Amino acid sequence: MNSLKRNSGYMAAIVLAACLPQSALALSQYTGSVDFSYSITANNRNANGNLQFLSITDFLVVIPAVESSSSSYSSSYQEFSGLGELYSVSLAGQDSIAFGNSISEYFSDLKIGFSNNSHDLDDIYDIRIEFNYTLTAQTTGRFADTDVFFSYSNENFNLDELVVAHASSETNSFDQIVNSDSFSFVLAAGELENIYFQSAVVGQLEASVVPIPAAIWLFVSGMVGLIGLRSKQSIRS
Amino acid sequence: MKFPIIILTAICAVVSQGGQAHGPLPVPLIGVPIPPVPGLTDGPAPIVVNKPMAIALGKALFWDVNVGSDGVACASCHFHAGADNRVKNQLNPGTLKPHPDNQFDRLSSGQGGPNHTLNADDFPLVQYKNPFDKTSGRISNTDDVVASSGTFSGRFTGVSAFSGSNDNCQRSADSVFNVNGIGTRLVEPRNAPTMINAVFNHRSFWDGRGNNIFNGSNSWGDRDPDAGVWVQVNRRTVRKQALHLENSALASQAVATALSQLEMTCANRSIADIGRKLLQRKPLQYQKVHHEDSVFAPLNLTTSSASQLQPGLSTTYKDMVRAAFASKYWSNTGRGAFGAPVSGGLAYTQMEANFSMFFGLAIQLYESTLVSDQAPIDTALRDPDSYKPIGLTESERRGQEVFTESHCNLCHAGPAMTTAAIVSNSMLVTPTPNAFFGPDHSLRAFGPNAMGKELVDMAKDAGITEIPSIVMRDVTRNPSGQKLIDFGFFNTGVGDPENDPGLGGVDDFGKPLSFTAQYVQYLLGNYSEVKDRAVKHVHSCQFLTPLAWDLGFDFDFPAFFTLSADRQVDGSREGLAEISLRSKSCQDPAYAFIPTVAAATAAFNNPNDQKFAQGSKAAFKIPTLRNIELTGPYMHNGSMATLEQVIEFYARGGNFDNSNQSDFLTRTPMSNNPQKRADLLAFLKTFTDDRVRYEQAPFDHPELIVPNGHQGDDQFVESGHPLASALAKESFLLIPAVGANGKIDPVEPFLAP
Repeated sequence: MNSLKRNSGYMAAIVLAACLPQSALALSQYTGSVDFSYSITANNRNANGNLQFLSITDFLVVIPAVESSSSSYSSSYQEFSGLGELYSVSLAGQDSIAFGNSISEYFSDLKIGFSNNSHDLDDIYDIRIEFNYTLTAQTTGRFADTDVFFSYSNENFNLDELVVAHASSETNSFDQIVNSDSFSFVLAAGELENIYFQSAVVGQLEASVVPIPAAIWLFVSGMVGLIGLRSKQSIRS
Repeated sequence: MKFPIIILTAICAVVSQGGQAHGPLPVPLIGVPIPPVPGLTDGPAPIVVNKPMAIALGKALFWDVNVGSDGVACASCHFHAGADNRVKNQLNPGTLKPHPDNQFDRLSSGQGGPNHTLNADDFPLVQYKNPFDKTSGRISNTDDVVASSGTFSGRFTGVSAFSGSNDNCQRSADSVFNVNGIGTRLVEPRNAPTMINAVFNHRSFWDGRGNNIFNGSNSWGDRDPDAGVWVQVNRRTVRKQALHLENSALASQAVATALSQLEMTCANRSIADIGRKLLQRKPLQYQKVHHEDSVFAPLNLTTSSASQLQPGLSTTYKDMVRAAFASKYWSNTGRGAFGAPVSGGLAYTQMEANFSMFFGLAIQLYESTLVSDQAPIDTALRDPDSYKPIGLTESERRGQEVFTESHCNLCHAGPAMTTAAIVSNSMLVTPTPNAFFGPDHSLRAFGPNAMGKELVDMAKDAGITEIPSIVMRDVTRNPSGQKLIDFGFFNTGVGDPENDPGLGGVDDFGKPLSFTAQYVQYLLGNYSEVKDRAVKHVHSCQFLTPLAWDLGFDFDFPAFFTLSADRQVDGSREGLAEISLRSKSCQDPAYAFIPTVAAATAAFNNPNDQKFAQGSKAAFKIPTLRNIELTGPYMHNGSMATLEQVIEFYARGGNFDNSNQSDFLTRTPMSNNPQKRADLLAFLKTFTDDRVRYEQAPFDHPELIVPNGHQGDDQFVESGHPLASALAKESFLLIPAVGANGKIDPVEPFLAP
C-alpha cells in the first residue's frame, strides 16, 4: 500500500466516523403510555349504612398483541383494596429501530366488578367512581407513528367513551391528553355492574427506505472506488 | 273510452316520426337538489360526523398519486375539466370484446398502437366518405378505443407505510401494451368521462356497473351478499354489518377504479392495503397544495404561503378519517377479525378494513361539490311562461331549437342534461311547496312544468316523472320496435355493437349488469334473481311505450300483453299499497299492468315473441353535456375529437345500425343544413361554466404529475424505467396547483392547437 492509499483510507475513516452520528439520527422511535387512577366511594340508602354486602373485585389483563424484536412495554397496577383510596394503573409501550420497519401493539384491560350481595331489599348502594387519566404519545426520527387509546365502559354501555392521543413524525411528534371523569350508578340488592378500562398503545416505525447498513456499504464501496481511481490517476500522472 | 288514448298515442307517434320537437327544455342547474343519501350525514347515527373534513379527505384522496401503485391518482384521468386530454399512449386495442384480438390498428394518420401520439388526422376513428351520409361508404374503422393510460400493474408484494409513491410489485412488460417488447402503461378500454356533475348520475361508469347503492366494500351494491363494513357496536364488540347507502354511485365507482389493474393498481392489492399505505402519511405528501385552495385553506390544512407552495397537508390521513367519520367505524384497536393481506403481513385493523368505505364516501362527498351551474344556459334570462332561455344569443337560441327538433333533448334531458340523472330529474318535476330552481331573475317552481310547458307534459316525453324510474320501455330501431331498457342508457350505434357489450355485460357474479334483465326475472316470478331492490318497485305505467296494456277490449297485439287474461294490475303481487303507488305519475293509466307469471313465462320461452326484447347490448349511459366543449374526446370509446364530429355523427344517424339503436337516431334534421349545425354547436357551448374553464373554486386542485406517454414514439421506446428495467422510460405532465381564484390560461378543448 502506497502512502496515497493510506491517506485515502484515513480520510475514509474520518468521513465514516463523521457520518456515524448521522446514522444514529436515523433512529425512529415511539413511546406511548396511559396512566390512570381511580377511587370509589359508596353509600347505602338503608338507614344502617352498612356496606358489608358490597363486593368490589378487579382484574387486569395485559396483552402484548404484536411485538417487534426491539419493542417493549411496562405495566403497573395497584390492586383494589378498599373504598376512598386512589389506585393507579398504567401501560407504556415503546419501540426504537435503526433500520427496517416495525409494528408493536400493547393492550391492557382492567375490569372492576361490583355486586350487591345483600338479601335485604332496603340495601341500595349509590356508587361513584372518579378517575383521571393521562395519555402521552411521542415520536422521534423520520418515520414514526403512535396511537394511544383509552376507553371505558360499563356493562350496558350507558358509559361508553373513547379518547385517542396521536403523535406522528408527519405532523405532531408529541400529544398529551389529561382529563378526568366520573360515573355514578345504583346497585340494588342482588344486582351486578362491571366497569371496563381499556388501554392500548400501538406504534409503527420505519427507520429508512434504504437500510443504514446498506448505506454504509454504498459509502464504503464508493470510497474504495474513489481510492482506486485516484491511485490510477497518480500512476498516469 | 279507451279509443281516444290509442288515437292520442298514435298521433304522438306520428308527431315524433315527423321529427316535430317535443320533450323537455334544457334548464338551469342552479338550485337543483343533489340526490339525497339518507344516513350519510343525517339521521340518528350519521356515518360522516364532519362533512367539511370528509370533503377535504375526498379531495386529497382524489388527487393523491400515492393512492395508485405507480403514481396514478383518480385525478390522473380526470384533470382537464374533469376529463383527460392527454394524447400520448391513450389507445386500447378493444379489450372488452368477448374474444379480443388484442391487436392495435393503424389509425387514419398511418400510425397507432402503444405510445402513439394522437393527432387530428386520427379522428373520428370511424370515417365516411361523406360524413353526413352513411350510405357514402365507411372509409376507416377500428375497434381501438381512445381512453386513458393508467398503471403498469404487476403483482403487489408490499409497500412502505410512510414514504415513496410506488408500491413494491413484481412488474414485467405486458403482452399487449408494449413497444417491441418493452412495457408501456396499460390503457383503459373506455374513455374517462368527467366527474363534474357526475353526482347526478343514478349509476356510474359507461355500463352502469357502479351501483346506485354503496355497500361499503365494492361497486356491486346489494348484489354482493358478503359486502359490508365493520362496526364497533359497543366498546367491546365489533361486527360486520351490511351497508345500503342510496344514491351513492360515486362511492361505488371510486372503490372499483382504485382496484382496476388497468387504471391504478397492482394485482392482489385491496383497498385495505391502500389504507395501510396511506393512513400514517400526510395527504398529498409529494404534491404542492395552493395556499388558497378552496377546500384545504379554510380548514387550515395547508402549510403553503403565497410566496411558497408546500407539498402535503398539515395532517395525516388517519387524523382526517378520525375527524370525518363516526368513531364506531375506526375505534377498534384489535386485529384478526378484519382479514389479512393476500400478500402477507399483519392482519388488518378496523380502520384499514373499512378504508373502502372511507375512500368511497369521502370521494363521493368531494365530487358532490363539483357542480357546474354557472354556464350561460344556467344564468340566461328565461321566458317566465315557456321557460325558454331568451337571454342567449340568436344563434344559441336557434341551436336550442335544433337540439330539440333533433330529439337530443329526449336523452340529454333535465338540468344535468341526461336522463341518467334519475333522482334529481324526478325531484324537479315533483310539485314541492316553496321549492324553486334557476337563477334569481328566472326562478322556476318544482313541478310538471319545471322543464317546459306545452300541450303535452314536456318532461314526461323523456320518461321523467315524479317517481324515479329505473327501467323503461322505449322504441328502438326496426325491425324490433319496443324494447325494455335501463332508463338513462341507450345504444346510439357509435361503435360496432360486437366491440363492447356496455350495459349488456355481466357483473363479478356472472349476472347481467342491466336492471332490465332483473326486471324480466321479476316478471317471471324469479324473485331471488332480483338483487337490486329497486327493480322490485318498477312502475310499468311510466313506460314510454307500454308492456302490458288495457285497450278496453281484447285484441292481441304482438308487441304488448293486451289480453286481459295475460295481464295483472302492476303492484298486485305485492298488495294494495303497492298498487296505489304504481298507479301514480303514469304516462297512461292503461299502462299500469304487468303480465301474469304464466303469460310472462310463455312469452319468455317463445323465441319468436319480442315482448321481452331488451336493448341493453352496446347501450351506454347517456352522458351529461355540461362543459362538453372541454371534455373531449367524446363517446364511450373516445372516437370523436371535436363537437363538429359529434354533430356529424348524429346528422348521419349514427355509425353502426343495429336493432337496439334509439329510434330517434334516424331523425336528426341537420345533415343538409350547415346553419343548423353551426347553431347547435353554439348552443352546446352554452353548457360551459367558466369556473371549469379557469379552474376556479370548487374546481381548483393541488399539483398533479401525470404520466404522459413514454420517451420515444409508437415505433421505439427506451427501456430502463426505474420501476423495472423491462418497462419503458416515461414522460410526465405537470399540472400546477391552482387556488380558489383559478388560473389565467383557460382549459382548452381536446387537440386544441
